[in-house]
Amino acid sequence: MNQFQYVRASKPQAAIDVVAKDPTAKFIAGGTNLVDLMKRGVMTPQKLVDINRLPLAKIESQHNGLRIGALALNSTVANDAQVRAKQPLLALALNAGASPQLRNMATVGGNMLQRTRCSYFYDLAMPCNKREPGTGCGALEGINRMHAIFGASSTCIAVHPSDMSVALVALDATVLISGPKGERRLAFGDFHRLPGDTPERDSNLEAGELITAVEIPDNAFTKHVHYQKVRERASYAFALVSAAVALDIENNTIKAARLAFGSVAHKPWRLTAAEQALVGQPATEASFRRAAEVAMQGAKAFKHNAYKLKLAPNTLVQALKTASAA
Amino acid sequence: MKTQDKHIGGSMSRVDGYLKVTGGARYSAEYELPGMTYGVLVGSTIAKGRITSIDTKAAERAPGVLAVITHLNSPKVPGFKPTGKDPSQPQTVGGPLKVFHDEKVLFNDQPIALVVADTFERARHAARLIKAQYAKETHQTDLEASATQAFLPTQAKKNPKSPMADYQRGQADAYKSASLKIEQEYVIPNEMHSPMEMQSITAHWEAPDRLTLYDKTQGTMGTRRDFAKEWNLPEENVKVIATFVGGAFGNALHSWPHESAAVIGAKVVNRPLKLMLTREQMFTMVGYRPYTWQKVGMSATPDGKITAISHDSIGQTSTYEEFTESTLAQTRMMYTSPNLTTRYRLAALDVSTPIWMRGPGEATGAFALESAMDEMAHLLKLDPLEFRLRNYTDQDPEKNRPWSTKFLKECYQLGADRIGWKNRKLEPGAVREGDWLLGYGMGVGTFGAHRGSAHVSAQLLPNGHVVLQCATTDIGPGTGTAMTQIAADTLGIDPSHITF
Repeated sequence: MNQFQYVRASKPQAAIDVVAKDPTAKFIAGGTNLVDLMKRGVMTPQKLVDINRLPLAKIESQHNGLRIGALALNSTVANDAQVRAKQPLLALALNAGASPQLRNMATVGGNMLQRTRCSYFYDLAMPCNKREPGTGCGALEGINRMHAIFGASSTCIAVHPSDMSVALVALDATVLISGPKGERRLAFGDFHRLPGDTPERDSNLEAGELITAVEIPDNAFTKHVHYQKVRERASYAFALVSAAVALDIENNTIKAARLAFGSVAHKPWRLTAAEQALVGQPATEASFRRAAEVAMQGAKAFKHNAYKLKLAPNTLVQALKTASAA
Repeated sequence: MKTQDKHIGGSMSRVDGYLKVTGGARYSAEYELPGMTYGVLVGSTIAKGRITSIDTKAAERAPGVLAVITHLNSPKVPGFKPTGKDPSQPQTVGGPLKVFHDEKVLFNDQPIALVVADTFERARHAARLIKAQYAKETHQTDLEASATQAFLPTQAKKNPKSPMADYQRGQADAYKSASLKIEQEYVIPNEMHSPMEMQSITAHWEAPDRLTLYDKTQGTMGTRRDFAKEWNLPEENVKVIATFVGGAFGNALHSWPHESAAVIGAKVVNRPLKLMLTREQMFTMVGYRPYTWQKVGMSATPDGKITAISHDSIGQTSTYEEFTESTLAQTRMMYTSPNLTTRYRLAALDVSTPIWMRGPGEATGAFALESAMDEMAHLLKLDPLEFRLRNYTDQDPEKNRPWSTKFLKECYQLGADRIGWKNRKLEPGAVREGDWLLGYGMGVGTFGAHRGSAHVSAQLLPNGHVVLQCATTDIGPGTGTAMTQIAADTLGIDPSHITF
């Protein structure tokens, strides 16, 4: 491991000041991803600013929604009574991720900022535009069975690995950010980026900006929700494809729907057109199939991930069936 | 003696159970020696070619680094030679990788440098600072693409009676002219052992001609012979300690490049050196079940008597070492086919050498043969178990001699009763349980009951206790417990008074 400095921040502004001034500095919270990346030499920050003691771990009800502090632990959020009552989809997605040990360390902000698990990103002997811009993409012509079917570019076909973020993008969450220029709010769907020509940037956070909280507006999706994660082991594995589904059903007619795919793109993949295709339709498998067809428009496979073109719609249909029956 | 058996076959707590569940059992990476140094291997990033330059300056200057060893400065190892007829070693031609011997790269992640430092972390950091340049050559790692260049193993060329040689009884490929026949291809990919315990070794030159290894190995004597030979030492000057093995499944039956590298490194710094592979390195340099392509052709009479079997196999090996295994042995002895052909070939790829993996070649071959039996039974519309019974053989049809014992019919019956075989439908996919298709299947596996001699010393102490000693290791099945049971029954002494 490279030598690095470690400082502990007591106030958010102090943490932001350090990281904004020093491009080699990084925030560290649970460290479940960053420490691994440092051990392997994929990331080599010169300075770590420990934000664990900042008062950003609260989960609170507001007049029109839930506010979850960026430092709330994944396990705390998943087991929180308010979250389970108001946003059960989020709890399902969180519990599908990682292992209990990791969920006990990982924070909400850190979960959003975890890096791709593309093996070319991790292998220092391989080219990777995300790790080292300009070196090329090893996955494009390499082993790409875990990779994107939506929104990829010629510089990067990696996927975002988070489960939690798939639920948050479906639930119209907002990200609260503090930075050197003050505070700002960002729709969750605008937080993560597509690779384009700058795959080294996973999100739209600017230098020194710190996620302080996530807000989720109250909604009617408290019953018919499901998070379907398809993976190669029953636990402790990243998704091949996942689907977050929230339905508002009245008299077997779908009044509203929120849908998103995970592990199919460089960002959690909201399915707005498929949602619209469901509105006013009966909650039947035929409607779900039609929505899944809409969801798959524009999908493009690479050499080893063509299975996702079938797996993704089937996963969505399965999730919709489970959610509607809940 | 039999009637006095009390402990053999009986229930007894494992003698090392307490140590294992309390963390007291020491595995190869857990030995600490005064002055210990730590080694980390740097692997090649190409699969074939030559190292044209290797920059070790930054690594040498890094804190705590004691030595950086490459092919440019490695001490001469007296005996990088093929291993002999040791039964614990694969019957190979060529030999294990001669680590740091020259500039050639023969497989991806081949060790090209060893960094030795005073702590593991410092060694790992310095290892990342090493930069190699290569003259890359086109590699071939695809077995099916190189199937046309597959060759008869050298041992079969030298000896037509070798089990790896082509075998023929009756007519060659007689199934081809039959009317009821099947022909199917079967492929097994590379399979990695991935035991919980990563391979690790501590090498300690206790004197210039005396070497002690705390090593993960399934055969202490084989490892001792290998390193005595490698360093031209009398065998009694090499001591191998491997009390416990945390899973191996075959991949600690051979001496691997990291072991040679650790011994070289310990020689250079003249201190004990510990080297543990990373999980990634477990996939590139300590063996795996070889990718194997097989084709089985079979014909039978309408009443289910096999008339001919042809079984071809191409197994993967490396370019520097011929690894062979008994993929086709079961086919030659299992059923009474009057016409039978087996052909075993190897394809040398730009990969590290494979090794036996639990139920080694026998399992690979049984998968193809028994799948083909099912295909044939399906074609004949015959119950697969009945089909096997109609071709049952009461003697070894390869060697034409009776079995010592064979209880396969009884085994069939017991299995059929236990799983409710009688409920099986002849048509596949006919039984459902909810969303799931339910299938009844069967297959036969065989493995030779090999026997060898071993030496054990027993010491009777004045207090009535017995100490047993043997150069062995416990790979998990409970060697210490079994030896204690044998001694207890043989000597009539309570197991609590016996230490193995």
